[in-house]
Amino acid sequence: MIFRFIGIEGHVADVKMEAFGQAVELSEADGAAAISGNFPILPDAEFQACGFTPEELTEYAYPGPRSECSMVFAEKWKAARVALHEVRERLNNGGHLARTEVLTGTITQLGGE
Amino acid sequence: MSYPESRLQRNYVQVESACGTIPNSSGAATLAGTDAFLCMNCDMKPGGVVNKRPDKTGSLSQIAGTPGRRSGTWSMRCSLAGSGSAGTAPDIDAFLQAAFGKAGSVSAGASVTYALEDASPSLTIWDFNALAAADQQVAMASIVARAKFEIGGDFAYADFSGESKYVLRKDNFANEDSTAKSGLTAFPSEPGTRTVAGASVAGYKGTITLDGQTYTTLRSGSLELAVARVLPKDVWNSDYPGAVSSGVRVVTVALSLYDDDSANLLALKNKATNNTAVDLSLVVGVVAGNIWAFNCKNVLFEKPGYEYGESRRIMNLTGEASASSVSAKDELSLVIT
Repeated sequence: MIFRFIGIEGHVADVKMEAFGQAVELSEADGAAAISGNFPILPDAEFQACGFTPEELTEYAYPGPRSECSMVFAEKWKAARVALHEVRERLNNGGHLARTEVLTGTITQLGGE
Repeated sequence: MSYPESRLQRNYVQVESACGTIPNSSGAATLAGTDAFLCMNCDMKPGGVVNKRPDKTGSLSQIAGTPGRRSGTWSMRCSLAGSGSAGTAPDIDAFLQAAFGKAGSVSAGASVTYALEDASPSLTIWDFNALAAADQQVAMASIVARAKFEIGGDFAYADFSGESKYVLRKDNFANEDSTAKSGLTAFPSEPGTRTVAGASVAGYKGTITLDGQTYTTLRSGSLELAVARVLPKDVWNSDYPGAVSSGVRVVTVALSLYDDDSANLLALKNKATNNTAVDLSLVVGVVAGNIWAFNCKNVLFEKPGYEYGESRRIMNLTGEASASSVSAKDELSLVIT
């Protein structure tokens, strides 16, 4: 499962994370554990839902430029942090990484009810 | 034969749900890679007296004593490093919880706020070395009696210290009693990988606000939260300390500024001289996700003192913060954004 980094720097599964939006592949269990343990990564689906453009991820990859970012990027950045909080809360309350509606949609697509 | 190198020390911390019980599931430690934190030092020392028989032996020599009560002490020093994402707690969250008395309050995507509470959470602190065959150790029922934060240097630093119930060593695990084992059936191996987040805060960047005025003349500063938390060592029928007992909480602030002739600083000096309390805010860091704001209320400074050791005169201020009322616990808070 792909996760995207939304912090400044860190290490997870022996991978150094240093760029905003940097992707890392982790098992669902490892990703869930990292998020519950306060590591700032977001499941790719939630990250993509924030609407970052490739240009923004290039321009604001590092903390220096982010300190003077555009209002548009700042809003998306805030949305990503809020999404991380929601994922963490969901996991800490016994939920799944993916939102229920996403799971339901997947089951429907597979021919279930 | 190999040597455990000091640089290869790896440390982890967990908040205990029950004081003195190492977090476990059916006896297996629930230690995870996400419990890791980076530090400059993490020391833990077991204490255990040997009581000499008090009776005369009939000669000038003594006979061997008998083991007495056990205890432990610990300390940890690290650079301040936020998670890098506002609204996500830092890796030293457990130490902050134990110092302030409760978990931080999260504002989604915005901040984590640590406010004072009269409780005393306890920690299990793990000390591993990369040399797996070397001895490893763990300090349980570790309470924070002192938390000190320093700013003004290249980095900002935090020091935590206090007592522990005991320090359990892996190599002696089989010989220990159940109380020392603290719920474990085996000493765990170190988690396979560590997860650590954040970068060290630049200790000389931020915003210093004293009595509502911003100052850019701070050279260095420190803030200490000391709580009289102890593990009583006079428990009947037990070699080990009892559950934590808590006493008075004292918050002290020490600031070193370049002296100047500004009206604001003159007003602050006069408030210090005339015993008028002020509020202050020490904000260190300027990068979102790594900004640490220490807010102190009702700080009564001692009479200011001058130093002439540098080319420019230095003014030192030392004071204590106080709660706003008998029910408030607001003399100190920490907001990480």
